[in-house]
Amino acid sequence: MNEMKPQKRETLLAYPVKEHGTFLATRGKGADARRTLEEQLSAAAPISLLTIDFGGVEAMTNSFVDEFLGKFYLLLSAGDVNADGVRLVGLDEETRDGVTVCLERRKQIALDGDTHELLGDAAILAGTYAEAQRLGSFRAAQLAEALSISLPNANNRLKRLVEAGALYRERASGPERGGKEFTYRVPSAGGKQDV
Amino acid sequence: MLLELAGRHPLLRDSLAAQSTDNGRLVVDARRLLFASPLDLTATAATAHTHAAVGTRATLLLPDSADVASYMQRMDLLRAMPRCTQVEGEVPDEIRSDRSSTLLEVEALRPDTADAVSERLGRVATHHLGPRDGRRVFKGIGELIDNAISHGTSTCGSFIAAQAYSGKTTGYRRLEIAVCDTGIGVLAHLRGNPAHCGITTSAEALDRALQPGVSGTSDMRGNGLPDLLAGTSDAAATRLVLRSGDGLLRAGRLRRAAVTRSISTATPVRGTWSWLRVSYRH
Repeated sequence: MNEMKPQKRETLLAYPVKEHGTFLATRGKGADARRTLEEQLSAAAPISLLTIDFGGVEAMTNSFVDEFLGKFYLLLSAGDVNADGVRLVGLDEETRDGVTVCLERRKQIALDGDTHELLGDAAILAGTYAEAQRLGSFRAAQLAEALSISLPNANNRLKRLVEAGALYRERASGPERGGKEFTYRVPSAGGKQDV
Repeated sequence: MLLELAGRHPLLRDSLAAQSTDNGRLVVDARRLLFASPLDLTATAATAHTHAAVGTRATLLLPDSADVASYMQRMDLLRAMPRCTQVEGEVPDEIRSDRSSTLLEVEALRPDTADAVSERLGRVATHHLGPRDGRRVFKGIGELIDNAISHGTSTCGSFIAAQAYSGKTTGYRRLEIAVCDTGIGVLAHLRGNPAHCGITTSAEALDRALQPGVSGTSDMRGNGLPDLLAGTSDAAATRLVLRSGDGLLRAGRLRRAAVTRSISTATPVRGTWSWLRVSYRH
């Protein structure tokens, strides 16, 4: 039997939230928006970068955001979403505030693709992410050294960033010490194809 | 049952002017009503439908004031009443113009109408209060809509209406919205969560519902009402009145000062009635 080689994921998926309306109120609507997104992800997998676009959305309740985004990020952190990277774009001051509140309540983080900053429960991770951006492509040990923190601490932080789709994690080509080793990089929209 | 609507904002008073009758009918006597607000309209529709569901026919006595009667008709209250409703009084001739940017007529609020209602109210809010404040106010309105859809469903339905006031006479731009559902009420809803099964009165339940994270489900939710009160800008005067079962809660916020008071009342209502008014000085 031929061993399947992992394929490099280069497919992009853009998800315009405004397709569900410009004033978004109910949890039911949020659940609809999440289900539609999950269906599109399933149909288009594998996805290298998912862009959730809030452009054109005038206002949304925190209940809508929680049902849509909060629960989507739960799925993402559980590994139930087949997307390597996820970013939010098109947020204005008001909608960004709502997203931040909801993420903080669930102790989640998300990447704002417009500002390249983390939203939500990002107090500790903001500096980590900024350093990751500076490093570009790196291993955990490099990050630990750059931040002067222990390797387990760096790994814990990287785990959260990967779970939120803010960083890619790929198996490193040559383990230096025989164990599993990964390289990390910031997602970019440099893939080949929008779906 | 006789429910009298008299004066201005009769349903915002602590006690409803309601009494039992033995004629097997619901009579809503609005003859002395001087000013009809969205709450008066939606609560009348919700009460009539609640009674109709158990076979009790309603009689609506229209206001003596032609202006108030005309407003009731323009706000589609007569259409929202159960079909078997008997209307007494002079129904004014109607000249209907498009007022969709300033009001939302009495509408049934259901999962299949909630999106259209939300879009319409979002437009009303941003048109009258400006983009920034209008969006913030919409978030609060949306939480009331979500509560009615999520917890207030029943076969009798929920009703919603809204009115924007320009403030030419009062000096305040205002938006008033009322949502009246005929569901199980806040007390029964919260007691569905074991964490809140010790709540014994509707007044206590309403008080509790304003605390962050309090929900009738075990999900991580229950922030809608606290978010509503906290969400308007500091320049707004926000008033929220909730009536559920025999509980009545009044909450207000102006700048950073907030006041909440809940009481038990003599006349219980079925479901939950919500009234929100947000005012901005010109």
